[in-house]
Amino acid sequence: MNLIQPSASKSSAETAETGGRAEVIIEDDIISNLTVGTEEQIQKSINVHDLLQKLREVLGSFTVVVGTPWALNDLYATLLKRAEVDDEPMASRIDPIVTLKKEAQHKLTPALLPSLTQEDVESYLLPVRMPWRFVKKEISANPTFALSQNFCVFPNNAGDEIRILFSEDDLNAHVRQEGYFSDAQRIETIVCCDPSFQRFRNSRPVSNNCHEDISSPR
Amino acid sequence: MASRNSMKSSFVLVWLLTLHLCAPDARALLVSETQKLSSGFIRSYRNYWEVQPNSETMLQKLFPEYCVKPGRRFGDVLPFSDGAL
Repeated sequence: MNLIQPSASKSSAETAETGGRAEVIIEDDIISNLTVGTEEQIQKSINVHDLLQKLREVLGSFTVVVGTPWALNDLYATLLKRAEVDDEPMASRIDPIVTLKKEAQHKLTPALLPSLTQEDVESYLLPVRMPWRFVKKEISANPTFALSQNFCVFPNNAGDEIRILFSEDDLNAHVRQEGYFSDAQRIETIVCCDPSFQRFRNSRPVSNNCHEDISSPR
Repeated sequence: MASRNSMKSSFVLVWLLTLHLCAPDARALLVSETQKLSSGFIRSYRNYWEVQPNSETMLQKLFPEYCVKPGRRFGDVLPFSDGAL
């Protein structure tokens, strides 16, 4: 066979590949925590991917992108978003280390991941290679990294988990100050329960159970 | 996307093996984050085709015409031309 080019050649995100064409481009872990630190770095990695596509043969060629998520808007997130709006088909597959039961999905945050238990797991990706012992060790080492690198969840920016969606005026409009009900007539006594997720054994249990008297102002 | 340690890179190399067995003239470009990682990645791919003395793999026994025998360069063997592989 008289091949015009090597059957396989290499390139990297560091170097600009010019010349030559390929039927298949395989991008394996093209980004890391070192290349998603700033918006500029993220955009650069997306540009590198886009530039590499120029090396594909016009017909009958494709790209395989393999990796783990590093940032909320990194290359992989961008490709998934593009796939939603583009006409060009892109098959995607996301394989987290374990699949959680529906009722445990809310634990996929850095704060709640350490509270994950074996009973929350529906299935394992590789049960022999990565059993529960391995999963627990990964979570214990660094919940934030485990979330992105093992559970394939795009990490939020710091502070995104706690977001206030109301103004101070809204709050004041829905709150009655102390003494408002002092001369009210009691009409009913009910129990309120705040199912907040306590992380620490010494967390104050004050908000878990409290009695409230419902009264109407005279 | 998949978890770390889930053999993503190994899978994609085996997938490329099957592609080259079916379409020997296909040209592949292997890209990693750094040149060092890319070198390691393509070296892993070469290892599938390089025959080690007295330890042929099943792939090498089944497809000897694709493999590089001891003492020969990749450029000497078809279908792989010289260059990176």
